[in-house]
Amino acid sequence: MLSTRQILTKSKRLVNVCQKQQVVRGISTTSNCLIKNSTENDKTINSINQQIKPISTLNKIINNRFEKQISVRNYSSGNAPIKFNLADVGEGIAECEVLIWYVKEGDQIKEFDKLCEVQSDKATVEITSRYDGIVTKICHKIGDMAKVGEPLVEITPEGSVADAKLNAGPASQTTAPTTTTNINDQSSPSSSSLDHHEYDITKNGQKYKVLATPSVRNLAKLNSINLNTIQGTGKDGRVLKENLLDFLNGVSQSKTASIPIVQKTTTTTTTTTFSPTESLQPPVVVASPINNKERETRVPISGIKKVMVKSMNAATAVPHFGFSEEYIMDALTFLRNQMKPMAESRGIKLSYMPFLIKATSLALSRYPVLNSSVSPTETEIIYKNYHNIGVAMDTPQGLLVPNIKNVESKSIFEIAQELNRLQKAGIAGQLTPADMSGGTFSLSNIGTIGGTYCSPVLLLPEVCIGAIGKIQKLPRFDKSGNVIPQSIMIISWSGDHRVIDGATIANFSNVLKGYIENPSTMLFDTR
Amino acid sequence: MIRLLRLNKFPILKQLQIEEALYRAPNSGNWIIINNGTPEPIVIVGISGRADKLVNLDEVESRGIQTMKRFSGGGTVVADENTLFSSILLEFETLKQLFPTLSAISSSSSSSTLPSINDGNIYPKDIMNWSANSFYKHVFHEQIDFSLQENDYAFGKLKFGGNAQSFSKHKFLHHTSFLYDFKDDHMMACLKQPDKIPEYRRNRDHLSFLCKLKDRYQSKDHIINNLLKTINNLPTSPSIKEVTLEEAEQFLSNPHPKSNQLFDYNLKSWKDITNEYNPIKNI
Repeated sequence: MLSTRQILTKSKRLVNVCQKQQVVRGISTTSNCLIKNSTENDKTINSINQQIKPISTLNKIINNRFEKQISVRNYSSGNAPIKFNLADVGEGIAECEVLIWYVKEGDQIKEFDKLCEVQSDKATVEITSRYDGIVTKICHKIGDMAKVGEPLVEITPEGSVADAKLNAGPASQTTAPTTTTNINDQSSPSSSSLDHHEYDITKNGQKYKVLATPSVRNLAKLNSINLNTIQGTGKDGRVLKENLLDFLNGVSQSKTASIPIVQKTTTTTTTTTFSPTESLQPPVVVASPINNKERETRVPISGIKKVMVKSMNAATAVPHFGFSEEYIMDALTFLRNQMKPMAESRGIKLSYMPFLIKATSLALSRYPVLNSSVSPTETEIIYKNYHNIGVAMDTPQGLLVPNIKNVESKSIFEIAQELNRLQKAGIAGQLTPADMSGGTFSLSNIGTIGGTYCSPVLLLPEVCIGAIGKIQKLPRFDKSGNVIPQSIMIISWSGDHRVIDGATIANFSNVLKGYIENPSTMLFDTR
Repeated sequence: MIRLLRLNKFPILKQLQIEEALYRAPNSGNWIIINNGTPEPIVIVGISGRADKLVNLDEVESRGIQTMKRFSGGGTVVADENTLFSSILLEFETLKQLFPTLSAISSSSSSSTLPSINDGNIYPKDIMNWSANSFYKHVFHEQIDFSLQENDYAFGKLKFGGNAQSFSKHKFLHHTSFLYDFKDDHMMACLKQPDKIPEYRRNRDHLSFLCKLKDRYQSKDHIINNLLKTINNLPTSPSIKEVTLEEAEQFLSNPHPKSNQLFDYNLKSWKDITNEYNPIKNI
């Protein structure tokens, strides 16, 4: 939708074009007059003919030029560069020194991406873009004083890649005497192909590239997806539209879905807290004061939460079958306590999870259908010959499910190591697409927060998921009928009822129960 | 939740590397870092500081004192084991929850029609005022002449604490070096009179312009305790979680632009820091 200003600009241009066309027509008319009014003098006629040719040629040239300009202008009429001014930094400060540029001319930029850092008085201020588009002009070099209210950069809005090619200037200036940034020094040239667009930021020698076409970028932006979290399967790792659609449908690539509780259960929370320390500290939620002036507060659903909405919606298409079982944890508690000093000497914090993960893998070897997925056409069951077991964890970014690769070939120590690494990476926001993708089975240790029975939702395309409740000391009967205390943990399983039946899950659970309740039997089957 | 990191004689160079990593990492949360001194004297200039204009480089070099440039703006200080460092990194959302009246004050003070630097319409000056009036005033409650003089904390007109700030879209960093004590000789010999000085300084030299906290407090521990009390008494009592250095160090591995630098006296230029926090030499 063109703004009034854009319409007026376009109209002016068209008027100019028409006026020039009239001039051209004037030349043609004149030449015709010359022919008509030609005298019988051949020489005169010849000379006139000679004059007509150049005029005709000129006519053609002018017409061609105007056609091109019209086509270019029509293409770009709605996408004139926007002058992005330096925002007010308060207290009447009139100018700021430019410290760092995060972009260079020709770079693609999205709303909220970092543009630059400036210094005002005693504060450095990071300036972010308010527009999507291509940076077509950087108005100040590092060290310059930029005036508040005057342009910092010019951004050509998204969609006019051709214009960006016409208007892109030379690489941005890098003449700062200080080396606070090497960004511009290291920048590589933008792609010249219209098929894809390199989004290339270089910071201190490290390059970050996401290859994707503008339409894929637009789709990602509409769905608030960071392209860096998607593994592209195109040439050179390009993110294709199908990769993005798969991601949105939760088919493959990154797994960022949560395991919310769907049906009536005793637990109401959807997060799993994983603390690197053994004594788990529940997050303290500070009650925010209720503002009586407003009746409601609207918070946009974006980022990971938006992906969660989509993937959970996709999961509702799959019929879930639920199964819960009690697992006696006394023997495993004893074993873990025995192994804790050894783990600590190796710098590893040992929780129950490595044991449960390994036991799950051993049980999956006996019931491999639980480690499969259903083909999109629902005509095949795809058995995975590896166990990449996902572990739900609460991170500052939200609930994420990275997975431990090839659990079937890892020792309990190696699983504990990898779990530690994923937890630390999760806290630091450094989980990679590799960590997040390729999962075949998931576990959620919601019991660290609380709860007994759950009803977890499948992480498609997996066919089974387990939600682990808390360990409780409960009275049970022994073989002689005496009441004894036992550490009981409940795991609630959900299976894809299209391919998993109750008997399979029950049998799998029994095998797992055997391993958990008699951990020494794991030695028999561990490779 | 606010993470509290307490350090003792921790090198300020490494502390600033951690602070930059925390500041530049998205979703790093809220942090308060207190460091009781840095083991070796070091000259610290602000991000756009010209070393030759602010520092007597020959003097500093001959004394074996390093000169570094920090990622935040502001002035120059010679820090040593008697400098108390206090850094506050808060998300604007958290600040607004703790001090709901802040945004009301700041939006009324801003008469600009230009777009704001952040969602909250909170400007550096607002944070400076907030830090003095809502935070450090309580830390130094025994001193009736505590005041904010332009960007400095002072008793009367004598500065005892210098500040620097960094603002991004969702959070800000406000860090301070408090002069519990300093070597008069270092200050005078190492630092030049800067071109840009606050008005209230009125061309006083360093020794006439600064004062020492040790003249008013028996020990640094007393001040640190006041600081901890103030943190624990923040409005709405947010949860304060004391964390280890390792938890903060995790953020160093998040790729980010690194603006802290060291001055190379031989090359007479700034160079990137190469240490255990930044083992890869930047090209």
